[in-house]
Amino acid sequence: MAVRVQFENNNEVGVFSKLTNSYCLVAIGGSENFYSVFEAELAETIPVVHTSIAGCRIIGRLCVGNKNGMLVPSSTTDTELQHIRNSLPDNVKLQRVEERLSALGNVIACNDYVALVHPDLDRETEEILADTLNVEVFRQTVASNVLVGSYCVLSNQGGLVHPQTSIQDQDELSSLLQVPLVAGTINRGSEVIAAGMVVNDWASFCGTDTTSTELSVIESVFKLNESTPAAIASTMRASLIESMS
Amino acid sequence: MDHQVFRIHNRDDFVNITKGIKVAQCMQLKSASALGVEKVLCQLEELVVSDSLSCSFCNTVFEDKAQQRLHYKLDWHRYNLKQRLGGLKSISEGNFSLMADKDDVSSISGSESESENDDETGTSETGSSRTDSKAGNSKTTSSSILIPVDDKNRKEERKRKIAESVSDSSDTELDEDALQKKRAQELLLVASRHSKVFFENDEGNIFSIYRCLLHNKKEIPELDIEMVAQALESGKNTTWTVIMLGGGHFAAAVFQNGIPVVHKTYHCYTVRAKQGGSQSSRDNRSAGTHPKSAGASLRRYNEAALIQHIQEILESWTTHLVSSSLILYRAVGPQNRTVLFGGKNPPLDKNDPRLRPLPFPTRRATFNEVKRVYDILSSLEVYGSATEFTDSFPISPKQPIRKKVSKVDILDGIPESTPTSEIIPPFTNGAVDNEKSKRMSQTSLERQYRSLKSHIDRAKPRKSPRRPLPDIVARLAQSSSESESDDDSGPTNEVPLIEQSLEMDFNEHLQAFQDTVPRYIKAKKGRRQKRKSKKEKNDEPSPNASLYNLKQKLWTACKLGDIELLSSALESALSEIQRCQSLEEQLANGQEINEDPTNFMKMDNVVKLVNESNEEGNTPLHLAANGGYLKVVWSLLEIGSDPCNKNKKFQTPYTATVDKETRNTFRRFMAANPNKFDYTKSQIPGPLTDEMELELAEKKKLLKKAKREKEKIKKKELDNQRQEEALKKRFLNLSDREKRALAAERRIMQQGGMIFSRCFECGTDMTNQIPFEYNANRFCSMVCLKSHRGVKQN
Repeated sequence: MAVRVQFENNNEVGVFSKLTNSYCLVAIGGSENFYSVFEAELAETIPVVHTSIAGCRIIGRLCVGNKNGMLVPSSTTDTELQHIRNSLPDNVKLQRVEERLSALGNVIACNDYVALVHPDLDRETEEILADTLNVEVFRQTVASNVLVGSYCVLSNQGGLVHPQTSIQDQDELSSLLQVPLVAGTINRGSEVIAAGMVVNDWASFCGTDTTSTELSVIESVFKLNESTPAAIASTMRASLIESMS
Repeated sequence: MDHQVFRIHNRDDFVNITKGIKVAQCMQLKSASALGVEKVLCQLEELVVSDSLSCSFCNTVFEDKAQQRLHYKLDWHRYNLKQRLGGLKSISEGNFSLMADKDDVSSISGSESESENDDETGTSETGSSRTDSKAGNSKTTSSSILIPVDDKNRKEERKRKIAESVSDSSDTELDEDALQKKRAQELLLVASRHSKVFFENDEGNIFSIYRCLLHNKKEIPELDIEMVAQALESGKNTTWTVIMLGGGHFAAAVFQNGIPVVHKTYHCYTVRAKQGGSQSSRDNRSAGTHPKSAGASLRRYNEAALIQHIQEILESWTTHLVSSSLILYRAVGPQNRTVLFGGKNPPLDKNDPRLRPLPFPTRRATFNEVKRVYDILSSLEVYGSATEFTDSFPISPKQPIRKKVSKVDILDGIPESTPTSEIIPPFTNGAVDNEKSKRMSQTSLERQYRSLKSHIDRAKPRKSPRRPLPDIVARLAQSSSESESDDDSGPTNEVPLIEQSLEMDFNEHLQAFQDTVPRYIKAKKGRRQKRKSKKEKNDEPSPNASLYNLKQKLWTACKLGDIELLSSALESALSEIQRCQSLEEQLANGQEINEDPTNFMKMDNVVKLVNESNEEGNTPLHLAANGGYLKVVWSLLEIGSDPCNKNKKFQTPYTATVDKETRNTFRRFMAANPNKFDYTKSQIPGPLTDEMELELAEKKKLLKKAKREKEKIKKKELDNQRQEEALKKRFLNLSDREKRALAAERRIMQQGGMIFSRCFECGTDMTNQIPFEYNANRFCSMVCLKSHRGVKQN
């Protein structure tokens, strides 16, 4: 189920939150609205943690994680680290990394099994990443863009990539990651996919600007509802064609 | 072939041009795009994990998944990734291993590789125009929908490309291909949305006809053949009606083969001045309360009149309208549309297939504008061969969705394609053509300029009004002109011009600050003087021992404030001076002395000594003043230490003081010796005599007294208040009964202890009793009360 949500009138919810299969982080904000949406959707299954990283609220862009673990940049303070460690489930490994590219969320895209990383990422970070998150790491670009973490979103079910990713790149990435990929947009045409949404295997949160067409594509790519893609194609055909022409 | 414009109603030209026409390549998008959507849907339906085993960055194909995964961790892949990002060619594995052996790529991985890319560009060949194609790519993303365009052709193309690249074909060629394809695609996108339709005739020339001449917006033909048929048809029907309506202006004309058969323009005042908009829309907005001004009712009336008038005109043109093959109209907004299509029997049928709205913006509805519109629409533009066309056709920048592609925009892009209002014969000679093109470019330039201008200032340029000058100015101007040239005009005006020069002198007030020149200025001046003074110093005779002694004592005394030391030193100095004087007298009298007269100590020397300054510019007086040694200050002043000397902070001794008493010493000295120094520069505010001091003290005393008294009064008040407060508190704490009793007692006390309340019936004293009351009468007991009532009842 994909939910539209807004963080203090900002549609880039992927910036202010981090969602995985075993935990969810949300930024500390002025209002509780954002938090309560996540809470309502997820609280029964996974912990929803209020936190900041390095005193910033852009936690989604600073950290990276999956159900096995989580990496935070070196600028994370000790108290924040302690708080996150206390709040996360016990089997989730938490690790602080010394990496020049400190916005880990922008340079790493991962699901529970594979990770795409920025070509310039440090070797050491790559190893820590592989050990902490239990993933296989591939250095790759998305649509000729090194910020793979910003321009693609992965779950174990599927992935959404930058709208200008060529078909060939999509094919290669898909075979590499072993999930189906679709090029698309979020938030009414934004190509910064990861900033506009967060997703795990059963839930997704998008900015409020996201159109219904975008939403339906997200739901079908990430297999968020029971309806088959074929059903979407048949029911959504009219609106799809209209917006294409 | 150059760009040319022909008239659609010119039969010969039309036939010539449209010989064997087909729809131009760039227009054949419709079906393709539909296909694209289908493909996208298919892709969504498929949504499978791809099993492609290749890496496009390294141009390799893998045998199995394991190899593929391994590949993405290789340095070779990483290197190629970077090459690609830098817009360079990828290299094969063999080349890479060679390079690696040569240590050219020592550190490809890791964040620390910053400058390495630059080195590599030197070794590898320069890249192709990859970046250009990338830029083009980003331009084409237009809609906000998610799905990439994909079709079979492209897939096949891609596969072929991969095969080629694997078999080591040159990369640059591919890029050119891609570039061309991209360009063609862009053209396709633009042309398909264009207000013109492009055709190709059997000579291979591309020409355009306005789409609105061919078919209605709702009946876009699916097949090219239909479109061609419509194009051929359009040349035959040459009776057009053009109707333009807007802002109270109406212009219409019926053209037959390029000649207006009948035309009419009409204007009514309907647009609200300065506000804009029609009166009726204003009325609709404010339901119920219609403005009742004269202007409003005038416009209301005019609107109705306009509708009626236009409908009458169009009715009278019925025969023309029926015979015309196209009715081109411009009527923006519901107001204008109701004029044409509203009413009981509308002049035009809304569903008439001949009705076509004008596809470009127009100006105010006038007959000239109608003619211009007709000229533009009836022009057949020939662009030359297909390749020429694709090269010259501009890919206009992306426009907001709501804006239609306007004629003017495109014309700006193609300088030669300006349609003119003249008919060009099909085969003109070169000279005329040349002239023509020159003129055309001119007009296009003009248009560009105009459009630019219209963006910048909205208001019309107006001349500023000329007003007569104010009287005084006029008179002054006149008089001055007279003085300049008095020979050509006599004295017409007798206003005398009086000139006065006033010199104001602030020197007096500024004297105290005369020497306070900023240091940096002073430093410049000072340097030269210093050198001179040094020389002078050298010329001076060495100070004798007594003077040196005196100086030492003086400075220590001033520093420490030791008045005794100072006075003793001064006394000795004075005695020395006297001795010297007597010696001098002896010398003058012709007596012999055994001392050198040049070493005689004089008063001048002492004064000079006292006025000497140390490295901070402080004289002994400064030191004494700063230390607050009153007696020292006084005696120094008496000796002749100038209070106008300034130290390097531009402080006089007076300003260098720290306490009032020292300052008063200066002032007292000034009062005692008003003529000893020139005090103007010393910044001493004024003399202070004993009387003044006494007066001041008196004043202070008085003030203190007044203050004390005030305080006394205040204290008293406070006491009273406190007492009152205490009483109040006690009173409030009493019960109601006690309060009443207290009040009564007080009253009695006030009346001098007289018995105040007596029983109404028996007259006994009731003081200190609570009376029984009945009808405002008081009784001492119930018995009395009852008896009183009994009397009353009886």
